Amino acid sequence: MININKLCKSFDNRKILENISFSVVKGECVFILGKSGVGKSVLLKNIVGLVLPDSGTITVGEIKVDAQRPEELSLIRQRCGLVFQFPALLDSVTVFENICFGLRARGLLTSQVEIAARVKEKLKLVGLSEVVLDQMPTELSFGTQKRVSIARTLAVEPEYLLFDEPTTGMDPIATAGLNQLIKNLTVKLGVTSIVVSHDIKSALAVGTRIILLEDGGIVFDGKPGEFKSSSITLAQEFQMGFGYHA
Amino acid sequence: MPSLSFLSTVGGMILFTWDCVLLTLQRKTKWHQVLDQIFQVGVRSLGLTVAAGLFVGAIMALQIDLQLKDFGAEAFLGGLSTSTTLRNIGPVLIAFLLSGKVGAYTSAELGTMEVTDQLNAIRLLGASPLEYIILPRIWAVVISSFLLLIVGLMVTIFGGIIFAEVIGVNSLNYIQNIPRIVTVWSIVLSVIKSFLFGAIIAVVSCYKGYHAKGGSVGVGIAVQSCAVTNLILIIITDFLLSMASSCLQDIFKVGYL
Ligand SMILES: Nc1ncnc2c1ncn2[C@@H]1O[C@H](COP(=O)(O)OP(=O)(O)O)[C@@H](O)[C@H]1O
Ligand SMILES: [Mg+2]
Repeated sequence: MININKLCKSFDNRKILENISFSVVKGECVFILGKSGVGKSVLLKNIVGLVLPDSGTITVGEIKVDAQRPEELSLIRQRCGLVFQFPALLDSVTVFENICFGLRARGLLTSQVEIAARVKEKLKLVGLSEVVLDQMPTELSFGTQKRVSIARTLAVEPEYLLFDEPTTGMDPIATAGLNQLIKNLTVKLGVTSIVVSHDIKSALAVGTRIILLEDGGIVFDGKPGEFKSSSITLAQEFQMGFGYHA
Repeated sequence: MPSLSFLSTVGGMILFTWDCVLLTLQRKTKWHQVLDQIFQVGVRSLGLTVAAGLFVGAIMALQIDLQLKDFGAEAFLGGLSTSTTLRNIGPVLIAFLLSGKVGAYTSAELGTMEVTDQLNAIRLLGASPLEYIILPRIWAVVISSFLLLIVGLMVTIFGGIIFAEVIGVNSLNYIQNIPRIVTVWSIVLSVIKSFLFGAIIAVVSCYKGYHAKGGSVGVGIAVQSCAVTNLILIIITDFLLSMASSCLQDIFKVGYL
């Protein structure tokens, strides 16, 4: 379970997140919606301790996110994978080395055969062929880079998955495949996921719960069915495609 | 206050350097990556450094010749121009050049990695960007800047000799005069300066890139501030070292230090 309690964060006196509180229990797939710049990425980075809150607490499982305790933070980061909004692949090494980076850094698998098998397994999950393994990230299209980035996060098999706009910049077929993947991970493997997205269709189809952010706070938190019939203006705008600035 | 923020930058850079020194002592440096980076940043700057060295040597020979002519002291040209170049102008000018070429490249590359979350990705995957990305670059820039400065300085001597011939000073006389004025200490001083300037360029560029934030605008700011900080620190260090060497000269009475 991920628990966020009264989280506040500002940058240069500009309040981004104000008093955000919610919990995500095991097996949930929560979609977080909100206009660009509302602080969705900042929220996800807070959960893995890449951005530190001004006040409030976050716990992942039983562990509190605390920058003063590097060992615990490292454990949280191992259990809780984050797929960044940018692909954030390392430019200087091949796709293969990118995907197995976490396995090697954490010493999770030591045999080369096992590492190669794991890399190929995750590559298949994101719908890519093994041809890309020897290529450099800059040779790939943006959508492909993003899928490699997802494979890299999946490679260490985290219990919690945080996706930051996973389908932005992908074609409709890849989007459908990825939605299916997120659903499978949640339903079959019991992974808990938080997905930041602009894609209302995916949210309604895949999410078990939707949270809507506006002006630093939560304005809606409920089931997709409730979201559809919500009277909140922003919720309606999202469904009609108004007021949506990607 | 700009001066306050400059001081806090310097403080931050000292801590940053200390972290890197500790990591190096713990033998965390991946030397094959250092070699890769030396090729990336160092070898590619060789041509430029050699060209600049030739011109710096030539300019100094020309300028000093103009001054010496008034006193009919052209015989001292070789020693004086080589000494001034080695001790001061050469290291400073070549370091400026490298701070543009190597420093801008490194700070832009690291800044882009930071603002596109590449460094965060490394943190999440359980590695340290300081160890994996920064340390090899710091050493590569220190080593290649140092070597380039030494090469550049040797080339300035040739530049002087060639240009002396052009302006009608016998090159044999020019060369024979060099050891009269250029002492071992001049050479030691220029080697120390080269090393420190290389270290400044490395630390400033890596620090500025590593601390970039806020998208492509942030990278622009980081590169700009890297360039300015490099120039200021190189000038200040040059001044302090020149002061120190002249004090030592007074204390030990050993001629030119
Ligand atoms: N490291 C940072 N320093 C300063 N401002 C930041 C930083 N990270 C994010 N911001 C600002 O916080 C706001 C929210 O950003 P973000 O979470 O990326 O928005 P989004 O909801 O589109 O993901 C933006 O205005 C952004 O400029
Ligand atoms: Mg975002």
